[in-house]
Amino acid sequence: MISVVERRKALLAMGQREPIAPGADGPHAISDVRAFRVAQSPPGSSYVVLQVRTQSGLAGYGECKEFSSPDLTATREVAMGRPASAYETLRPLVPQNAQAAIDMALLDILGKATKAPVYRVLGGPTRNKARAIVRLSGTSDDEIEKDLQKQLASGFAAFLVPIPTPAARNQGSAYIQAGVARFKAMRAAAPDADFAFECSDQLTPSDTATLAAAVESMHPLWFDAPCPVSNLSTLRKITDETVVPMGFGRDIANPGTFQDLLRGGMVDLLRPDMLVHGITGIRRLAAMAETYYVAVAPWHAAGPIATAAALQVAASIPNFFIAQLPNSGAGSATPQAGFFELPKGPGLGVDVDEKALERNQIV
Amino acid sequence: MNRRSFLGGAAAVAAAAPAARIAAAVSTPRATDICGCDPFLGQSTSGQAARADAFRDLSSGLKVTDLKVFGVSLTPDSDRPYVFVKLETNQGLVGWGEGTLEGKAKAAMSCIEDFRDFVVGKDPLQVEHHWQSMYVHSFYRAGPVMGSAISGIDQALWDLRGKALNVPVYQLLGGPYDPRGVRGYYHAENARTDEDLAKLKETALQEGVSCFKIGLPDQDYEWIETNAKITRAVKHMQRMREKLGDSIDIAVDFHAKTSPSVAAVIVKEVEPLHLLFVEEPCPPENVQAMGRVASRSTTPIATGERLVAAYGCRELIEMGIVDILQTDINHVGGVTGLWKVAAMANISNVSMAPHACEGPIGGLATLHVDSAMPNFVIQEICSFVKPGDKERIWAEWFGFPPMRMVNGRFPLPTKPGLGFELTEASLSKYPFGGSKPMARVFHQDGSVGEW
Repeated sequence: MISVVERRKALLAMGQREPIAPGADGPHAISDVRAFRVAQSPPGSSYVVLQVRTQSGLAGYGECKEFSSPDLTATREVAMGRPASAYETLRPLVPQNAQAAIDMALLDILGKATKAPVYRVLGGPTRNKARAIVRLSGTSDDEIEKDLQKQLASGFAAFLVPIPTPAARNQGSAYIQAGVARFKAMRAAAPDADFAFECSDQLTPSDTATLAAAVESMHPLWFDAPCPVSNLSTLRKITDETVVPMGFGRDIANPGTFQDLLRGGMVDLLRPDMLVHGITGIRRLAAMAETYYVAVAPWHAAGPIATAAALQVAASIPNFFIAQLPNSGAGSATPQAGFFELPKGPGLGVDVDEKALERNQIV
Repeated sequence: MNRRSFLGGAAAVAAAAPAARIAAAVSTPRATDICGCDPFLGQSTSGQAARADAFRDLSSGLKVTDLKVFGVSLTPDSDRPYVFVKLETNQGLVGWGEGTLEGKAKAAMSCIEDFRDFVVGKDPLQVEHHWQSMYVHSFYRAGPVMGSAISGIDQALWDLRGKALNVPVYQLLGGPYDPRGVRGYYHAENARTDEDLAKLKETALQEGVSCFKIGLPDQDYEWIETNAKITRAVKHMQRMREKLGDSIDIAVDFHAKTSPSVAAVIVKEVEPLHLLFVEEPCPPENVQAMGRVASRSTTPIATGERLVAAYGCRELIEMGIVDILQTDINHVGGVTGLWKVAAMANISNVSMAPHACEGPIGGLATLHVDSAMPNFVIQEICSFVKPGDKERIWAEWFGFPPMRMVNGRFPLPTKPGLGFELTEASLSKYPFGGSKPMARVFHQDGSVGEW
C-alpha cells in the first residue's frame, strides 16, 4: 500500500500538471483559508474551526482537532485557486488532520453555491428526521438518574449511560452486579426510553462480554466503545459470547480497520469520528457497512459545525442509526419526541459568528 | 435490535388492512406477527400512500411528472438495443439515463415501468432514497434486470439533480481528480495482421492512447484445454506485447470463456508480459473459483461487469480475489451504485476500471463518477481507435462526439447534469427492434459453451 505521504505527493504532482480550465469549474475558486481555535472544557478538548472563502464571496466551515501554523500554510498552498466543489479531490492533498474539516467546509460551500442543504447535494434526504441520543452525566446512579429526568424533559428518548467506573482490570461479581443495577435503575426510571452503555474504552474484551451478557435480556441499544480496538482476534470474543450490539470507531482512523471489524462480524454499529473522517469519509464507510447490513452513528467531541455535519450525513446515507450531541452540548437542538429536525438552510445549515472566532485565529 | 421492528410505520400500515379483515376485534395490529400477505385476497398495499408525503416539508419543489422508456436499436437485429429512460418534471427539466441490458432489452424496459410509481410524483433530488426504495422494496434483491432498471432511473435522477442545482454531476461528487479528463482504452480486436498492429501502435502513440484491450484468439474453450489452444492463447498475447511495446498497456478479456482450470494455466504463463489485467478468467457466480485463478499468478485480475450493487462485490474484495473492479454503470445501480462500489473498493486499495459496452448515456455518466474516484485506473469503451457508424450516430444525437478520447482521455462533459441534450425525435430514427439474444457459442460437439 502506498504511504499516505507518497500518495499525497503523487496526487499533488498530478493536480499541478495542468491548471483547471478557467470557467469549467464555476466561479467558486478558493480565495482564503483561515483557522480559529475554540477552547472547550475539559482542557485538551479544544478544537479548531476551519473557514474556507471563495472568490464569489461564499464561506464554508468545518471542524478539526489539531491544526498548527504549518498545517495552515500547507493547506493554503494546495487549496488556493482550486474550485471549492472539489471536496473529494482536495481532501487527500491537505494535511491529514485537516481533511475532515476541509471536506465539511467545501461541502458547506457547494451547498451554499447550489442553495441546497448538503444532504440534497449528496442525494438525500433519506429520512425526514434523525433519531437522537445524548450522554447522561454523573458518576453515581442518583446523579445519572437526575440528568436522565432533565434530558427526558427536553425531548430525548435514547441515552448513553456511563458504565460504573471499573476499579481494576478483570472485574468480579460486584462490578457486574453494579452494572446490572445501573441499567435496571435507568429502565425503571424511564420504562419507555432506550439506553446504550457508554464504556469509553474502560473494559477488557472479557469484561465487555460478561457485562453485556448480564444485561442482554434488558435489550440495551448497544455497548459503545467497550475497549480499545487493537488486536482484532481478542475483540472477536465479545460478539462470539454476547448478542448485545457492539459499537466501535471513536478512535479508529484507518478505514481498513472498520472493514476488518465488519468482515469479522465484530461490530454492529460504526461510530466514526466526524473530525477524523468528515462527511465524505463517513459516507464511504457507510457504503461499505451497507453490504454488511450494519449502520453508522457518527460521533464527535467538538462543536456545532460537526454536529450539523453529522445531521447532513444522517440524511444522506440509508444506513444511519442515531445522532449524538457532543458531551459539551455544542450545537444542541432540542429533539422532538426523540428525533432531531434536519437542517433546512443551504450548506451545513449553521450560522457562524465570525467575530467571536476571530480572537483566536491561528496565524 | 430486531430489523423488522425497525420498519416501524411502513410495516405496520402495510399489514393493517388484512389484519383488520381477518380479526376485526384486534384494535392494534401487531405488525411483527404477520408477513403482510393476505392469504385470501393477495397482498394489500392500501395505506402506503400515507407515507408518500413523509418528505413534504423537505421537498425541493421539483416533482417527476412522467417516466418514459425507449428501446433504441441502431440496427434492426441489434442484440443490445439501448434502453433509455427519460424523466420529466413539473418545472420543464428532463433527466436521461440508460438501463441497457444486453440480450434482455424488453425485460429491462418492463422492469423500469414496474418502478414508475417509485419516482413519478416524487422529488427527483432524493436519489439515494429512491434507489433504496427500488432495491429494498423489490424484496427480491439485485439481479441484472433489476440492476439495469435501477441504473437507468438512477442516472436520470442524477442528471436532473445536476441540472436542478446547475452543476455537472462530477462536481456533486467532488471531482475531478484530473481536470484533463478520464483515462480510457479502446478495443484492438480488429487489428489482425502485423501491419494492422504496427499501424495501431503508431496511431496510439500519435493520439496519446495508452492502453488497448484484446480478447482470446479462439471462439470457445473446453473445460480442460489442448496444448494447441493454450499455446495459441499465450502466443496471441505475446505477439501483442511484442508489436505494441512496453509503453502501451494491454488488457486481456477472457470473457469467462475459460474454466478456472484452463484460465489458471494461461494466466500463469503470461505473467512475464505484465498485462494491465486479465478480465473475467472464469464466470462470476463462484467467487472462490476465481480466487483459484487469482492466487496462482501475479497477473492482476479484473472482474465485475456482471455484478449488481456493492453487495455483489463485497466477497471479491473481502477474500482478496480482485485487483481491479469493473462494475458497469448500466447494471450496478447507476451513479449511486458505481460510486458505492468504488468507495468500498478504495478502503481495501482495490482499483476501478469500469466497464461500458452499451450506449452513450451510460458512457458519459460513468465519466463523472470516474473523475471523482481516488482509486480509478482506466475507463473502457467498446470502440476502436477509428470511429465507426455507431460513433457517428452518437455524435448526431448529442451534437458532440461522446466517448472519444483526446490525448488518451475522455473529456469531461462540463454542462449541468450528465452534460448533454437529447431529443426524442433524434432517437425515433432507430426504432426498437425487440430483444435479441447475445452471441450463442457451442463447442465442437454441439454442447453449450461460454461466449
